[in-house]
Amino acid sequence: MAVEAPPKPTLADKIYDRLFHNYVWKSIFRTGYPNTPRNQMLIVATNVFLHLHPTRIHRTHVKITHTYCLGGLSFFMFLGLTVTGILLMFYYVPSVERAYLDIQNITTTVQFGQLMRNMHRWMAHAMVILVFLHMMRVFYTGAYKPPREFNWVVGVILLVLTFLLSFTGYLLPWDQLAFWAITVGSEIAGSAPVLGPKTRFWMLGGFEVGPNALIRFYTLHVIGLPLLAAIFMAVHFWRIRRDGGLARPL
Amino acid sequence: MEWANLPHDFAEPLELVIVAISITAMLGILVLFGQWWQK
Amino acid sequence: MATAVVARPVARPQPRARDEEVLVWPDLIFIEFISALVFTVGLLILSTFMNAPLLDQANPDVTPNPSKAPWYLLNLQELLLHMNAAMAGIIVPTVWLILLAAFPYFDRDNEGQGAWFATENAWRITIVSGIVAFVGTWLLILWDTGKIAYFLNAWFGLSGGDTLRFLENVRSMQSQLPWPDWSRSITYLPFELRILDGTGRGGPTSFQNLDFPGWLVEQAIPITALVGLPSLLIYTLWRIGWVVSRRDALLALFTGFVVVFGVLTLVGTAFRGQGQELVLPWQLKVSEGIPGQEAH
Repeated sequence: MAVEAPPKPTLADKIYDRLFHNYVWKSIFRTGYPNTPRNQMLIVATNVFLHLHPTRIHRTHVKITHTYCLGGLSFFMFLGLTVTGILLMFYYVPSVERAYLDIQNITTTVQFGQLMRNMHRWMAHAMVILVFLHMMRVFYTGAYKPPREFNWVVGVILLVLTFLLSFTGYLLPWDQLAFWAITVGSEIAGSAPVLGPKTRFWMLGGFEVGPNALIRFYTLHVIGLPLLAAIFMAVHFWRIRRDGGLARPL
Repeated sequence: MEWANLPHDFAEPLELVIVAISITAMLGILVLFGQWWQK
Repeated sequence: MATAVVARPVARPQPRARDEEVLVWPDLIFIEFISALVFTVGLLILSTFMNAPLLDQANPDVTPNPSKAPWYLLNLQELLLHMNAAMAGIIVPTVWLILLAAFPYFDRDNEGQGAWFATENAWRITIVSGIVAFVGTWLLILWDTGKIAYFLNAWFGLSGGDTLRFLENVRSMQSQLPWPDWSRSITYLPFELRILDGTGRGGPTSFQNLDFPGWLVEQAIPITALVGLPSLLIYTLWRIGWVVSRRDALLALFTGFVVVFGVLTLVGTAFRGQGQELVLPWQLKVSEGIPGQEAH
């Protein structure tokens, strides 16, 4: 039987061709549209953001009821907090004279300021909860067994970093809630048997929660701890790929 | 569209409870979506 | 000679099973996208309706009552009410964290991997440990705040009178029993040992005399509870045949830890009122601490 001639290109096809098969577009997106298995694998393997993933994954691992996307959501919360955090940073100065007024300014005068602040706070709570749930998921699916033991340790480090990020951020509004919560928290730290008072002094930059504490916590919160967290996240994600992906049933 | 600014006796524990409920609800929506999309 | 040591099967990296795999694009990417979308929209809606709190400006002279740490530290603050400050604030969380990080080096078998509750008794162990941890923690908190003695009296009219008053809460073991005077200051070092003059508050940490009732109440009893009760749980589960492997024991411990964490956070958030007194959530009132406005 003779092969049918291909249908003549319609106007839509010609426009598509002009838009997406031209030189400029193809210099940016070098694989074709991922609607063939080849392109679908290529785009995951060659895109800098997507190549975090393998090109193929065990079918039990795409089921939502296996992972509930908790790890990915924790990372997503981290990204969202970074974005809202940067936006908030435009309007906030970490000095005891300005901090509270800046927060009031953000929540009243700045356009979408209230929304950004709310998003930042609820995403912070959400990240702590999601990280904890992720830890529970990894435990109950036994995904800490060899060769993944050290990745679990890295995960615990990330958990502690998440708590610390939340703790340092808590002080920044410089209202009564923030001030006294951090006072209580630093008292707990200061009650350590031998190094307690010194640790507390180092943490607060003084004997009381004051201007030194504010700038210290601010610096840790916006750059120190996020950088550490990013480094450990890099190790954490890399190790998952290195260990052959998520833990598979036997 | 605000009803927050409750007397903060209740606001602090309530804030946490509502965030936890929201997260559970969102995860539930995800599970339902998974059951529908991934037969 | 090699048979003298029984090798336990250690989990090894598994070979890929290519026929069991699906393409990441679109199957995984789409799911990730949807979950990100759901959470973004959900949190946006939440942020529209609920405002982040902002109280009065920080004032070191005005202390709200109760002062609470951020919610993920409330479990430690709750522990502080039941034991010595150094134990509750530093030793217990450090030991918790170290155990939490180290247990994968303890449980290295192949079983229980890759699926939820994959061992035979996993479900039962989890649920029973959860319930035991929940009820047990609540009972301990209620006992140490004196509520059990109170309820026994108010509901059943039972009262131990003066003879049983030392059982009212943990602290009363120190204050209500007739300890001889020498036990309150037992010299165990022939010299006074001072470690690192404590800067700021509290004075130097010095070791020479032991206050036995104080040590008993603040350290011995809490440590016994924290170590002994989980051990008892695992021992019981082992005797009835549910716990057969290290994974099962860890299941019980981990579930217990999560539930205890949750109960302590719940109590610290919703059940602690002025002066850290145990109250029902709807009776929880915060005093702003403004002089002249104490009576709320």
